[in-house]
Amino acid sequence: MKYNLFYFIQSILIIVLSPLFIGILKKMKATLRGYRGSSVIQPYYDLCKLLKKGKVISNRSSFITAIGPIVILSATITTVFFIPVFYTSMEKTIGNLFILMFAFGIVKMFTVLIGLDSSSTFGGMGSSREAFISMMAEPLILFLMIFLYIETNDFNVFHISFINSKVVHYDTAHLITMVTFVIAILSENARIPFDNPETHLELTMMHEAMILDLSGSDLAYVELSSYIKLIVYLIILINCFVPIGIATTFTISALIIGFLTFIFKLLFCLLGIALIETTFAKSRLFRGAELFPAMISMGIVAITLIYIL
Amino acid sequence: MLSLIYTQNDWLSKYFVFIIILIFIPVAIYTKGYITEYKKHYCVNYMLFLIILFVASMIGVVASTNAISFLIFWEIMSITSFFLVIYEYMHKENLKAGIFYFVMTHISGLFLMIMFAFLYKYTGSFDFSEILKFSVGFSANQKYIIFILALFGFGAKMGIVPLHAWLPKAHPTAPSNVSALMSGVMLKVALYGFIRVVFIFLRVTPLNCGVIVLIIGTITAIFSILNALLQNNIKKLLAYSSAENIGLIFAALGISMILVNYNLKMLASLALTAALLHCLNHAIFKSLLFLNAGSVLYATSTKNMNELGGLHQKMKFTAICTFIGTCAISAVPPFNGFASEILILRSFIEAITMVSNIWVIVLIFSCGIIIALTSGAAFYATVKSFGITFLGKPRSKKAEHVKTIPLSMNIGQGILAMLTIVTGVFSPFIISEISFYTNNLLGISGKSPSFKNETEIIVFTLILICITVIIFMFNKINSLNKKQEINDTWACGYKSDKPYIQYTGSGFVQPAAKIFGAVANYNKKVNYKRTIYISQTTSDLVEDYLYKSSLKVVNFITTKILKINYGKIQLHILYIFISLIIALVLVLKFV
Repeated sequence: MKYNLFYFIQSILIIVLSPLFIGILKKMKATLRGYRGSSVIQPYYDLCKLLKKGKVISNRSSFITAIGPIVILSATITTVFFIPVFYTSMEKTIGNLFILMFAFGIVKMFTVLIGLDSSSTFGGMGSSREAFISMMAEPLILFLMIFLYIETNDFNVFHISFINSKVVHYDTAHLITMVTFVIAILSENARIPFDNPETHLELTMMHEAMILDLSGSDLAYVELSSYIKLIVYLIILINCFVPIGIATTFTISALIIGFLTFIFKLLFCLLGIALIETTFAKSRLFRGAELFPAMISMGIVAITLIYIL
Repeated sequence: MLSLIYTQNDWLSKYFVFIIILIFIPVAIYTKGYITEYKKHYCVNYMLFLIILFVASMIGVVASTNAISFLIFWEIMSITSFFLVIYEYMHKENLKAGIFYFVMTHISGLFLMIMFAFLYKYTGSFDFSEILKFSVGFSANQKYIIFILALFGFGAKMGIVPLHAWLPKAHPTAPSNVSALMSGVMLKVALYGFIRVVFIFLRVTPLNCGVIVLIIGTITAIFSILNALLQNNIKKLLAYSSAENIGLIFAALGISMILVNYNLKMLASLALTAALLHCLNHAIFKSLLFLNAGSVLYATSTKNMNELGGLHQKMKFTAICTFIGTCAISAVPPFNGFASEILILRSFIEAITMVSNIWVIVLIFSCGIIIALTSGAAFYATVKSFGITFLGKPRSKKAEHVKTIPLSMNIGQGILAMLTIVTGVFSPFIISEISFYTNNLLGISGKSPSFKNETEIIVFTLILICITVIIFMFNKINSLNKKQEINDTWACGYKSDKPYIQYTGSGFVQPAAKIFGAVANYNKKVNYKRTIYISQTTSDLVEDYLYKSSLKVVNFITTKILKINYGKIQLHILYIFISLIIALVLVLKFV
């Protein structure tokens, strides 16, 4: 098993840059809504501000709140090392899709328990909703793995993106699966239509409600982890479904092309999220949950398309 | 009777004996502290004697080499576990649950007797090695008969869906150390029997058998986890969750049986390995969780999680152990549940790409989707069980005044929690160990596992620990000279936060109850009696409809039969005579 140094560098790059991408997403939303918005590097300022502050913790909180934020951040950072960004190869390496997806389970586990830890109503509400939505979204994640395995006969993300980057024409099933995964991304990262990341309104709260009682550096860790998590999911989407242009050889020109196409695709995805978030409203909890059966049936359509056509 | 002494020199038997002893040691240590609670009212030595007999009989079942000794030990196991279930005989409900269990376990024993009788008829021997020699010659019909009998016989003991109703009754009534043994080990003994009969005696079963096992496993998994989700009794929740895990194992066995049929031996070996690994993992984490529930019961004397909460402050060690168990059961890496969950899902996914029949693909695909939903629901249910019980504020007086837990109980839980981590991190080695056997069984040559065995989890754990340490150090340095206040939680504008503003167990699963409530016969009623309160009830659908209606049929028949029973002795002698003749005719005709 080999781990290329370049994999490491590109992963570090993603960890450093992810607040910037979130800043760009916020800027896009502001522009679409017609106001100036904050600077794109505002998330860095926010994180620094939070890290400088002291913190207040509840007298009811347990070891979950004490170690939770740190473990959440480290689990998310670990996942970054398991994915290709703009360079991939067929070398035998880490990057199992199962471990990647189950690693987000650590994040989910701790955020849900942090919600219950401080004995507040809001935390419990957020946890309950989060657990419910993620339960409904679980089949979509499995479906993603089934489909990618049928296409590439591999579970390694690096290999999947290598194999898929050679494909020129994508079939319909590929696109359908992509749509289902987009829905999974929106639900796992608490975006509209499942949750509104901007507000602290009672009715719209899932992710924000769970971390309501965190403050100072703890909040900074959880926020940074949620930034990185969104970017990691988008990278999985990009590199598993449309990896065209990703560098597969270790030459400077290929790397530059890979980097530029990656940035372009990521910005395109962020624009898509910004469009969804500015044009749709957050739907009711159960209305949102209705999307999942629809997506599962789309998944079944995709599988039949592969096998029958 | 000499054959009783010979033991099986077979990997499968050794593996299950290993599981039994592995679980028994920590449970035995735990028992030392746990029985102090019973010293006042019950006889302690009686329980210790029964537990040892119970464990010995389980080892006997697993190690026996012929059908007779297998059945004898099986019956000893059933009877000792029945006496252990009704150990707290002073509560009347416990006796009722015990009798229910007794009936179910004897249905299981009956089917097994018939099954071994048929095996004797087909092969002419009770000896397992003799049966094995003849097993090549079974016709399809003979295989069907034995398979169906094994399914009912072992299934009733395992708790697959139509026969699961004793699980949520017997586990909560039994003392917690006993339910840890019953759920962790006894269910595995039944699985051992099923694997031995189906995979070793029958080898290749018709396709339909595999399909039946897969469907039953999937239904068991989803049905029992949705029921578990809506329970507020910790031990009942865990009991349903045991049934769910048995369903998962069963589904993996079903996949393996289907694949053997298509001669895809490598994949079949993967699925069988997944099932066997999940046996070990489930034994460890489920007995851990039952011991934790026992500690909670010992300390607070209640099993209802809506009365608990905030236990992490006074029962720190138990809280940490339960947290580890919860992580394991909801498949969080690097704890052990995750390793087998990955293998099970992998065998589903790889089976889809290899099987040629479109209907089987559709079946495996839809079962896979349901299994994924099950794992999501398992996460929901166990987070509920841990979060509501241990986190937050005490919801009642019982949760505030907590008895201290004896050291031996903590040691028992600690050992199992350690095992959970060890078997999780080093799962690749355990997998390759198991796969030697499964390869051998399915006739694949070669020493290495026939499927790709991911050792990545070890790398993952190391990276995770590294980064955690780095962030922890950073956090330490960053928080120097910073103010850290400890305050009350914000009480939504009220003066102080009352415990009842927290979510309760029933509130926590409300979204799921709204959508899946029908599966658990969930009912919500608003009552007006001086104050307004909501009562929520659940019941087991299978028990309500299948069991009660069959009881009605039996009642109806007995009332009819009563009419020919006049209580005259001559008439009874006539009945005996007639039945004797019928029996003789049957024996002469069919044997």
